[in-house]
Amino acid sequence: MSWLDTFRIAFDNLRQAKLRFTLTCLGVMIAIATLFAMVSFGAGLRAETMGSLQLQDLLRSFRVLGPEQSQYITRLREEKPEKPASRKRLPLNDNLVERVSRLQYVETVQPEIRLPVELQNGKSRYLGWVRGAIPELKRNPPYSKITAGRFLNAGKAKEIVLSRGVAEILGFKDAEKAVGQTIELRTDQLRPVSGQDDLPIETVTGKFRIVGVLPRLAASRGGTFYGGSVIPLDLARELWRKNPASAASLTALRGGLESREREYPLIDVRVSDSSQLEEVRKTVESWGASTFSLVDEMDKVKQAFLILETIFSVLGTIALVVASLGIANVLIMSVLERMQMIGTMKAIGGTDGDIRRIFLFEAGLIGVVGGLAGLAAGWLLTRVAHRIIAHFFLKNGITEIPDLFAYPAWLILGVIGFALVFSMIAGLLPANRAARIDPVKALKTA
Amino acid sequence: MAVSLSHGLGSVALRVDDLSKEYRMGTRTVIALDHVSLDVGTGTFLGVVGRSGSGKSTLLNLLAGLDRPSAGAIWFGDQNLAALRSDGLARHRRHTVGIVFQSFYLIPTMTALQNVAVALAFAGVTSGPRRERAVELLGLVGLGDRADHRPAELSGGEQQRVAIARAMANNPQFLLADEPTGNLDSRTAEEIFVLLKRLHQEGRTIICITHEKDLIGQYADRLVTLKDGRLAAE
Repeated sequence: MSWLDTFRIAFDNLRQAKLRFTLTCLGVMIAIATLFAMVSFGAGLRAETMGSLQLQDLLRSFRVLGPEQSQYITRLREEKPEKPASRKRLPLNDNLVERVSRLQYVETVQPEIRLPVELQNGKSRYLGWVRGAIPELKRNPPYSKITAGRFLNAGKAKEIVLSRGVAEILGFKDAEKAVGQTIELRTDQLRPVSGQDDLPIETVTGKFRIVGVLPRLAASRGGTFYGGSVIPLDLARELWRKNPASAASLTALRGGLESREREYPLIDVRVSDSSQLEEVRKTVESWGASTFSLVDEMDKVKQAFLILETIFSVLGTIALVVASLGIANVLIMSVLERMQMIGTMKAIGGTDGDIRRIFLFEAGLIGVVGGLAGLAAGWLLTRVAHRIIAHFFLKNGITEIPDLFAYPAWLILGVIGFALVFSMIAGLLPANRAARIDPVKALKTA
Repeated sequence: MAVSLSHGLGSVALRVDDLSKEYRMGTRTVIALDHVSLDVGTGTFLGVVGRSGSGKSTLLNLLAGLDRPSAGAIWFGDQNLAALRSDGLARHRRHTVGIVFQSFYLIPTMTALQNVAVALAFAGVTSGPRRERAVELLGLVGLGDRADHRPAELSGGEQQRVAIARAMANNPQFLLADEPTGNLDSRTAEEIFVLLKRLHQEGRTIICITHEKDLIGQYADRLVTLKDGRLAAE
């Protein structure tokens, strides 16, 4: 008997028992929908995380660490700390910035400057930090996403780009309207003292023009890692070097170091392509610097996602195993009910193989129909979940919403294949039982 | 002692050689056929009569290849059924013999046409020719206008005609009928025998098992009697 005829007979048989067929398919559908939704979530989470790392350029950047950060990373990794004397420490100063900038493939080199400030717009105040930024940073997220205004220009102009959150604290509800406005920036500076009663600190105030406002971004889209309000790097550097919070300022106060030799806590380096990251990084490390890149953690991240996806898959598979038992049960009942039909088919020339195939096709059909329905239901389920997540994001003012569900082709084909394979396995026992039926006994079954 | 019968009508198409069939019923062994030997010539209409439990249906099941003998041989030409495996027996049922049962055994979910066509499907006949042949066969048994009816919508006589059409689907040389009129009234039974006689006259070898000795006597050109699993007389 041809495959097409076998399929037709199997399909007709299932059509005769619509309710049973529907209920069995429903079991498979629920299992597949669960499996699909869970694996889709795992895959989506992985894609979103990896994508966000790429979006934030974290895969083509590394940081040259100062001694404090270096020790912190060592502790985080639970590595044995190097003996202080065993390695000559490379100072993170302007000389190093210039040296790294000259390396091939290096796109931007930005010393990390976080300046404690007070920003004021009328009665609204914000107490926190601003960073110093080079103009080239406008190419990189999240600054590349500015929709209101522009990024900073080169030089020491008193310009500021505000994060959306800071703009709101300062009373600018509408980002567009904030652009062009002027705010006050206050920060502390060390000064030489003459008398013992004088404090060696004075507060300086400057008027800064808001030139741009960042959109509100989810953490995964660069909202936190590199986000925040920024002023021109050269200006920030000047203020920071005299700020009591910087170690450089204390050294300067003691009058020991030239300006170029004053150190930064860390330097952020971006290369033009992630494939060149390691080469540049190794060169910098060969000079005696400690570096850190998220690329180091990628294997662990990937491993974590693999574990997550495996757990989801196992849970979904358990549901599918239960559904498969349902298929086996229904088909065994079906064999018992259709003994006479099986006997008749054998009497008119059907082989054991023909009968086996008819029942396997029935099982396969249940699997495919249930699988397709499960795929649709799973997709619907994940879309509803996405809508709910999006609702919460929007409620918190985040307009760029990540999709935590992914539908790669391997997942779609995989779950259908899975449903088919599981249902066929479930159909093996009843199909073999049907094939082995003695036709004489089967025909006597009335 | 077993009685062996042979008949001289034409060449031998079927030879049953010292055939026995035993069944186990719990701890008891039931002998359904006891050393039966029989030659059937090509183109014979053989009637096998006997009381209930005489072994008639067992003999037919063995000739059809639905069951296996405990001993002996069944020769269809040079092919011994006793030596065939499951697939070989299926081929035998598909091409060499057509079987008609007392209870018709039509597939209730299929139409008359589909019931005939399914036998052709098992033989690998493709859709187009299958339909043509099924329509032709239903026309031959007088059911050309009932092709799209399901068994439940047909009378007993009509169902048996469909069953005969199905048995003839792959144009077998032998038609084996097991009490084909057992569930029919006398008038319809006669119609079925007329149909069987027609098929016989077209050159087929018919073996019909029945307890209606008088009726079969009018159509068969040879009658054998089974008694307690043995061939009693001709």
